[in-house]
Amino acid sequence: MRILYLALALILPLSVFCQENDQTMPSNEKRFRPNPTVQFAGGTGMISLGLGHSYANNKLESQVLSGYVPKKYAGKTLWILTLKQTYFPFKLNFRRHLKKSCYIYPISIGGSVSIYNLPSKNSTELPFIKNSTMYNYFLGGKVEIEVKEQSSQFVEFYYEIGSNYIETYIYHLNRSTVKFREILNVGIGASFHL
Amino acid sequence: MPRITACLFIFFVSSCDYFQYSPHAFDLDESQTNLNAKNLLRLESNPADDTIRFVITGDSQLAIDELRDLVESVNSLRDVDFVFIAGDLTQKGTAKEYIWVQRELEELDVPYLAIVGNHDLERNGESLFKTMFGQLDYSFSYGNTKFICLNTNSYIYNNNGNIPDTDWLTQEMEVPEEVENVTIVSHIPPWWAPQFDPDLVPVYTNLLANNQKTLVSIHAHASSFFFGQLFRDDVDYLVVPSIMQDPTTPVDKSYVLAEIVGSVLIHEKVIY
Repeated sequence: MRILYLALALILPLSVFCQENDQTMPSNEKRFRPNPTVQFAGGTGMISLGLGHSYANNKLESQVLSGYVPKKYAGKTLWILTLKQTYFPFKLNFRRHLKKSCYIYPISIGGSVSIYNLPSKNSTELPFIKNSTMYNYFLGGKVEIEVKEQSSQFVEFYYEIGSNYIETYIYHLNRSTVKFREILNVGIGASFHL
Repeated sequence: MPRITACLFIFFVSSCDYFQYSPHAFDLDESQTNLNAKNLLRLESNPADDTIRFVITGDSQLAIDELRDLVESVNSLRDVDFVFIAGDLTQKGTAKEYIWVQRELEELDVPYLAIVGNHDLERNGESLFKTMFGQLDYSFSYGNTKFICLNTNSYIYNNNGNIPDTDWLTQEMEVPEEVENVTIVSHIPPWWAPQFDPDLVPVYTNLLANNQKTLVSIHAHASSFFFGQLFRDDVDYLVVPSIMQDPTTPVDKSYVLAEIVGSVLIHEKVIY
């Protein structure tokens, strides 16, 4: 928890440099074009591929990812469909320091639901939580870099640090034996706005 | 820019030890696999004397802190040969739950043997249990007693008629002459229908009743302590209290310390 506080304390003051609405508005065609996305780890699979879409002046992003965990790492091959929603409160413009456009989104807050190809079993879950469903949440950030000068084509690199409802609840009940950092998982990814 | 990148990198690196592909994925090292077989090897290296003395507990589930207290209490006992964890080591069968529980159990001074519970089989739990502990049905002999550890979590398999595996149990209950007692250890007791397949209850109880060497059938799952006969067949059933406390009805934290002397079972509820 201290690490999170430290990170927020480092990142939040940067918001004074925040500039809004300085990115060229995309054309209608481009606005609705989905962005190919690839993610490594973060609870969505060893590798997950999918599509994302940014809207509300790039403050919101929805993603659909299809992930894969090899049998070696799960006893059986896992396929995971993840629906993810991310909110970016603000961005920083670094165009004035670089020739290419570059934006940093220091903070992202999001949640996702992952659906697994696990067999249907009776379980002790609540009725609205199936045996094959996992709810996750995360904090993170991303960097958006223009591919070529004045091209309006961007590549985003993002990271997420999060957990899921099961591990969080167990941590809450077992503070002596489970460390906070043990419930965290990290994911990194890239999204292509071409 | 470099400073921000450095801050983000430090945050990134210091926040977590590793990337997690899924809560159901696992990358266990050698010391975290096949633990029942390893603990049986440890047990074999300590030959039994006239008295087999063992602890039975179960249902740690959400209570890993309480499990640590139990381990400390068991380590303070003398002459314990081994410990049975009679199922529901985890709540949802995720990889980290298994790892957290195993980390605490490793602190036991004596070998421990895990029996699979219904919660352990949720989600990808069956793959995890098999990798970490071994087969769901297994048996071993120690001293004059054969212990048969059985998966009785029928409900998880939608009561498909194959769990518990009564054919395997029938074979296992045929023991050589030198074995004086047969003790069955499983998670769900046979009267706990429909979580124990109702169609298999008479098969199970008849198997136990018709075997002269049946000493006791040990279970967890029901939370509270019980010892007695339920099917009018002279078979004793022992149910051990759970490690996890019910917050609405808190009771003393306890486990069962059992001794087999000859063909007599002596048991004691230990409060810690």
